[in-house]
Amino acid sequence: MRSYWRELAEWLAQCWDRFWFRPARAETLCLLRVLCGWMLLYTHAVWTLGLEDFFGPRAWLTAQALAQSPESHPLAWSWFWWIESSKVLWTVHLAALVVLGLFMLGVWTRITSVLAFLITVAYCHRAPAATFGLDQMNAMLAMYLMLSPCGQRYSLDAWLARRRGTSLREQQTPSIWANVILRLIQVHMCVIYFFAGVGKLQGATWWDGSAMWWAVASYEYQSLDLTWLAAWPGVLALATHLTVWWEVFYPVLVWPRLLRPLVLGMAVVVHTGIALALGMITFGAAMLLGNLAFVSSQTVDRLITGTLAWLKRPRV
Amino acid sequence: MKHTRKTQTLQHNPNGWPMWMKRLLSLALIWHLLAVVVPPLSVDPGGNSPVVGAAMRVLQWYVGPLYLNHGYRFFGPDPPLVSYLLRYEVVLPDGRIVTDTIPDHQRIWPRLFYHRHLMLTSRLQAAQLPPDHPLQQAMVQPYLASYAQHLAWRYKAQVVRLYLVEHRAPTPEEVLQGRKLTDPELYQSRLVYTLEQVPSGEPQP
Repeated sequence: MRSYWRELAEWLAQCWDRFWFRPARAETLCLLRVLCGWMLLYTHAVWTLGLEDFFGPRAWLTAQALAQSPESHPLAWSWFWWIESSKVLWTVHLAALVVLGLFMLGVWTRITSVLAFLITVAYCHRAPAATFGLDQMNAMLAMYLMLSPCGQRYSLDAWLARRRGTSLREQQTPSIWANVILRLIQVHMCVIYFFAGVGKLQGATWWDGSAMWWAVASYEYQSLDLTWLAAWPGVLALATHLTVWWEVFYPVLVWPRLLRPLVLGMAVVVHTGIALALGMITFGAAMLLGNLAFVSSQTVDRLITGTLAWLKRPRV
Repeated sequence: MKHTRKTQTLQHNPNGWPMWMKRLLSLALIWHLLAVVVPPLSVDPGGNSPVVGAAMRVLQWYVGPLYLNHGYRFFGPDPPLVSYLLRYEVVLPDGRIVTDTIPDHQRIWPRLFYHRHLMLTSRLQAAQLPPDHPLQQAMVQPYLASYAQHLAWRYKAQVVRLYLVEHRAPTPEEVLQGRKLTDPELYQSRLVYTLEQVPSGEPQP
């Protein structure tokens, strides 16, 4: 019996070691930086349209109203709590947009990645009642990217280093740290899908197959009229059940190599559907960015190198 | 002797990380993974579990600042069978009355900005709860007061009236019989808050 426990412990330790501490290349993280940087820049640029309405001292939700709200955490820090002047508010906002742009381009990535995370969280904490899944994904990705070597490739930092001829070898060397960060994003995605799935199991509509109808029939969410599906209850029910099963079993099915393309393909279908039909393009895109963590760096590198070669091909 | 021990460690870990570093990082990873898993467990009905509650109390100094305190219940437990909109009526100093409803996707663009407003009004869903429900005091009333104060500031208005508009989604059968999603019969509106500015400028709910 004692040997069983020892063997089990050794096996678990080996699995843990293999999972977290195997070196990996950083291309996936670097591509994520570009795409997530764009998403952060767009998300925050949109705030410009209502900066004082959402972040000013007389915003929709004042600090006083949020003080007792269950939506606000006692440690929900944000520099907006201290900004009273309109000029300062606009200056801070424009500076944030510049930093996010630099992060996307990979300029001083070590610094701008940390600032990008702080900016993202500062906005979310000040306006929790206006946030949704997109912001949770943005903050999650920014948090992990801040800790990663995401400026190694596809960045101005890397371009400048290449011009100086200094760090080409380092760029191509797999590292344990890159693997740890990729694994953290992957595990976090599994947690998100699992709870999204089991949360739905508490609702009657996800059991009786009508949930997809209620999503389609919500005028406030609708961006594509799919109400003709009312004549196809079987299709709606199948889509409802598939969504729940896929979310609940995502944390299991995404790991086997042969099943991964199917699970990620389903993610593309589901999130593109949400983007097109329910008007949540940014949320759908952010979820797909999270799924990108499951695409190997070799594949990302091949894809980008191939695309660049295609763009540079001689034209007749 | 020191050299030999280091050589042994490196042989044992061909990836180059000494065992102590892996152990330290493993502890940090376990802590962080707990902070990822526990918050969604604490969302209702999980909030009543003493184990989850105790874990949240331990973790909250970590999950709060890092913005990890989420339930991830996207469209759960059910998609919105009813949407909540906010119609407001503001009386300007010259006596004119301005009315508007948020969110309005014909007017608020781009879609993400519209969605920000939809989130603001969807928070008023809790207005359906009984008056003595804790959320009424902690969320609904403070939010309504804050929304009204914001509108009073924006329009320099003396009086602000807020109406909660409930928009019910039709059933498939209703749609097959020709009912539109915007059928006026699907909307219900009721006054939920009035703010009147006294001469000193202090808002009076």
